[in-house]
Amino acid sequence: MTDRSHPAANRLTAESAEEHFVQLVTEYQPRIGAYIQSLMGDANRAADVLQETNLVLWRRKSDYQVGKPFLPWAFGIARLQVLSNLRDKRRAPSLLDADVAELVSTEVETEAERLHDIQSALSECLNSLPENRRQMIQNRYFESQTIDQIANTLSQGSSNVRVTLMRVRRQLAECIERRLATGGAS
Amino acid sequence: MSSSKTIEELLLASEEGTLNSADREQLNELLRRDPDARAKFARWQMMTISLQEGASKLPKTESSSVHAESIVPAEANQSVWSERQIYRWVIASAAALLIAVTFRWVQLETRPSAPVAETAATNTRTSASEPTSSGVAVVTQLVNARDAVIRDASGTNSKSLSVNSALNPGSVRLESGWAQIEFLNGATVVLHGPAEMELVSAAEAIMHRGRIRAEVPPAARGFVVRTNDMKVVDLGTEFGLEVSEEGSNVQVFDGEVELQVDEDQPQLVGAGKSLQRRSGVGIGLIDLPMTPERFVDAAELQRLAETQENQRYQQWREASESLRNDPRLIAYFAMDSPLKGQRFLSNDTVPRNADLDGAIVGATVTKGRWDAKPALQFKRPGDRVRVNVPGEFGSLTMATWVRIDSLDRWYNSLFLTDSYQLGEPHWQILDTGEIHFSVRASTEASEDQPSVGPPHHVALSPSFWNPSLSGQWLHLAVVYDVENATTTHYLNGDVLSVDRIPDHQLVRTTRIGMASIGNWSTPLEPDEHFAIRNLNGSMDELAIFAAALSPTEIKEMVEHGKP
Repeated sequence: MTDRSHPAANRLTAESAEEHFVQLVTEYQPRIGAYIQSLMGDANRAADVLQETNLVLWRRKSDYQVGKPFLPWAFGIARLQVLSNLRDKRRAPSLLDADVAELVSTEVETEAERLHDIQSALSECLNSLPENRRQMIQNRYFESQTIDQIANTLSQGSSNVRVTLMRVRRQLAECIERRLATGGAS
Repeated sequence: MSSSKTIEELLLASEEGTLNSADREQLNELLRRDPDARAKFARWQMMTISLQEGASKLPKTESSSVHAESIVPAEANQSVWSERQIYRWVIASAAALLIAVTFRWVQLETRPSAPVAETAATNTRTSASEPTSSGVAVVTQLVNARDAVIRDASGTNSKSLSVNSALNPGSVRLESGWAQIEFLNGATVVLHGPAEMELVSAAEAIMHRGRIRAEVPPAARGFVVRTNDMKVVDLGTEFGLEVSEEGSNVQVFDGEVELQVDEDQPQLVGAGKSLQRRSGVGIGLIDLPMTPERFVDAAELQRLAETQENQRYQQWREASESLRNDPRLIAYFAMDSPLKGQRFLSNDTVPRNADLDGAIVGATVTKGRWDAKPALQFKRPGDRVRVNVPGEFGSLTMATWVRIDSLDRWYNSLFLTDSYQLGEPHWQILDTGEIHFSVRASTEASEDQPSVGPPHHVALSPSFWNPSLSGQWLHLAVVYDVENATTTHYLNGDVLSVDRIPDHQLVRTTRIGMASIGNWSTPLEPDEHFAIRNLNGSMDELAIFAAALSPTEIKEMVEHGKP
């Protein structure tokens, strides 16, 4: 058990360090994207900010130290990009004011970090939903139907659908938290 | 009106695009004031994103690498793409059957290890994850093959050959031993090391040096092998070709070939002929004696393979015998005794401790790594081996030879303790192909207090799985190292990932107790959907150590046990 330590980091050549960096960015792309979109609210603007963030990550790759946690560093850079986008007076106001985005960024970071766990838990939770509720989630989110469309299909009022949808979301949220907290999902 | 809206209502409206400016103001005010609202906001947003991405099937893997090029300055990736495009024309339909495997049995040493990382899955993906859309040939046999690699046309990437791996155009090198390569047009080539052969297409190769024997059934007529000084077009035959410093020698064992030298008219060469092109200009072809014994054919290679298989099995047995005496072993299931008709699985540690024998439930006996070695097959949701391992341990190492048919469940069990109490390990594979290892770190968490902190630290490897690994014997190992606070995942003796465990989640005392191999028996939540975690595949060896084995030791296990 003498060679337990891992000499990889110092064996990396400049080229493979670059490759490694690309792999990190690629691997964490979904989480960085989710972080940005959560704060931006708007998918299109979020996509722009993600592109900008990727560029900045690439330019500042020499600041990143191999072996250090990548995500906190990347989130830090993403946050600055989000804030500068939100502060831009030429743009229409986004979902959040910049000061609020800064405030919630901590919580969003925690959530984005466990995106993968959330997705795993969510897929389990979705399957445990009653069929009609699952269907509603599918229509709204998988197929991007509007609430009015769903209401028409179900011959219900829109406000009815809204209430149900909210309940299902709450049910799912509780289910996810339960899974993650009890370690049932492990 | 707006003052009565909850944060959920506001966010639902925002998704709909019906949030007016008063609503927006209220949302921001809520978030400014109320920390609880901020937590709700973050969770809501993350679920929305997860749902929107879940159109096909959740969970999404995070491995889709479509964004890579967007962050790399244009020139960095351009060359790769243009080369890929060149290969696009290659027989797309046949290629659909073949997903490239780039799996390393040989040359384990040359693989760069993944750097130490502090968060789960911060690791470089193994080269196995490169998707390939074309293939011109398949490796169907490797016997005593040393340094068998293929380099792609750009010369930058080289991959070890393994049986059943699909080959793209590129240059195959073999230092010694034999490799049988089947071209997709139907021609079978046995390559004798040392040799170098360039795969051009599904019907064409260039020999740079070494020997081949080609068997070309009628359906594959027109198979072309070139050397730097001649071109052989096969007309449905069996022939040998050797390229050495003296020039190229072609020997026709059966049927006939069309031989073209320089710009001359092609000539037909029939069975029993051996012609050599001397190197140098203006020197023609000369007759040489036939030496068919120098060209191993597919049938002979098959016999060699069987001999080799037997040797490998014996080699493993010797290693296994000595492993049984390792005092660090907690339990060892070599699965080498005849398992047929037997419903217990003997624990093979020496001195023998029958208390650690497992009970086979449902799992059936099947073929192991070698024809003569049994294995246990886990197929149905109930299949498992029950074990009871008392005691307390520190570091743990688990190592197994496993053949995965497919990853059907979200969690596919390797070894799981029954419930999931403090200090208990869970070792399993996600359907994404990531290996998941965790030791429960907190005593309990209640539903009312989800924020107590994560109950464990999950060490997640990068995804190692692709469907072409299905049916292959793989060596998986995980080392839970208390002293260094790391979890290391291994695949076939290579480090997949090293994961640092934060202090507050490091459990120094581990326990196993009642546990299942290949499944999860959870007495707590019998109705839970996710409780079905049976492995779909087979296992033919499992060792559990009360110690952190070194990378060298893991590699040795693989060397001694590879099929």
